[in-house]
Amino acid sequence: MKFQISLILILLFTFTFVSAGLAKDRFKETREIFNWHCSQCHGPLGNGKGINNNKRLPVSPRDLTDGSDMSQFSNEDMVRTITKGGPSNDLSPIMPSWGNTLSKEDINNLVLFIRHLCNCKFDPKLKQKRLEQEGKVKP
Amino acid sequence: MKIKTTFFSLIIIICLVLVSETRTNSEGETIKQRNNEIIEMKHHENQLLSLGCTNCHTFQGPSKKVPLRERKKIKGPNLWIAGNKYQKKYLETWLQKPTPVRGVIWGTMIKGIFKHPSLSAQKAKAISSILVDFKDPKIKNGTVPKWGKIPRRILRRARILFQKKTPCYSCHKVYIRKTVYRTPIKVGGESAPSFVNAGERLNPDFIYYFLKNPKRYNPNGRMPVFGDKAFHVLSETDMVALSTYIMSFK
Repeated sequence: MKFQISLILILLFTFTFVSAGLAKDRFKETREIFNWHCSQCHGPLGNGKGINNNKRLPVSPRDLTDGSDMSQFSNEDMVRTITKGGPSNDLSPIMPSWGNTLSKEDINNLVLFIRHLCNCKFDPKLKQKRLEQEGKVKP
Repeated sequence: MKIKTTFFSLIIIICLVLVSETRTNSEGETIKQRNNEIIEMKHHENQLLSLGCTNCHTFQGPSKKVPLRERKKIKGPNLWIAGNKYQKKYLETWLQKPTPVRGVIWGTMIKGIFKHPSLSAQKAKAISSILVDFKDPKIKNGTVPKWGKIPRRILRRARILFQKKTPCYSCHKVYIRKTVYRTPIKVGGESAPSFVNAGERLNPDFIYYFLKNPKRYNPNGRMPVFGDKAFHVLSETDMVALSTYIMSFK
């Protein structure tokens, strides 16, 4: 009986360590993808101060570290904006579509990475407020 | 009777000999041509090697997709399509006075200027004539028609695409006339090559094929892939319009 319990415990430990290692690898990979593609405009820290951000741009890139601003978008919204571009979510077309360059897995991981950056969760009330302000939904 | 048969047989033998000789001659000529080509290629390679171009550039393609971690090891762009991409005059002048095309050091996001070694006028001429020969057979000349005066409908289409639908100027630096300002103003980012003198630098067919198949011509780049069937971002006429519009920047 003792032997069985110890075996199960060892198996559990190894599984947790392996999964944690894999998650770390995935996190590193997504950070590299972010640094390569997204940091041109959103900045390496995600604060919207990339190299391409200047006064002549009609819309400045979004600050991804601002939790109060980012919580108006659900994960599905973010996946849609990344794959199909800004206009798919009524945002600026300066955000291009990355669906042809990045895989679906990468995009899902990127959304999780952005959630880690802003340290926030989706708030449906904020989204409703924004839509009301823009006149897309009647209060 | 005997004389006739011997005469005919002689004629046949002479004909056979002649045919075989012509064959050997043609084969010999082709072998000679190949040898000459190989000698020329080796000469070109030696010239490129002696100047140290091969330290940073590669001349064989299409280049493979490299994982993101290993992209820092790539020192310079692959020039296997230099003949399709650049104009000869531009290459000559650029090699004498190399000025960077983007505000970022190549392959990084660090602001700054990388100093490319400059060449004398003679060497620049020789190297540009070598570089022009590097061509991709899949790129056909004349796919983008050369208009004397670009039609209005194409300019309008390209302007809407370039400025509104897929704003290229968010990364590419360019002079454009915007509605608010009367004179053209400088807009654009630093991370991508500037289009300020694109008409003097690039070829229109290359821009068309680059937009059509970026995974072949730039698999390790930062630019998003347009023109895939999945999202219908760019149609063929759009790509023709865009390449003519980009070529109009001078």
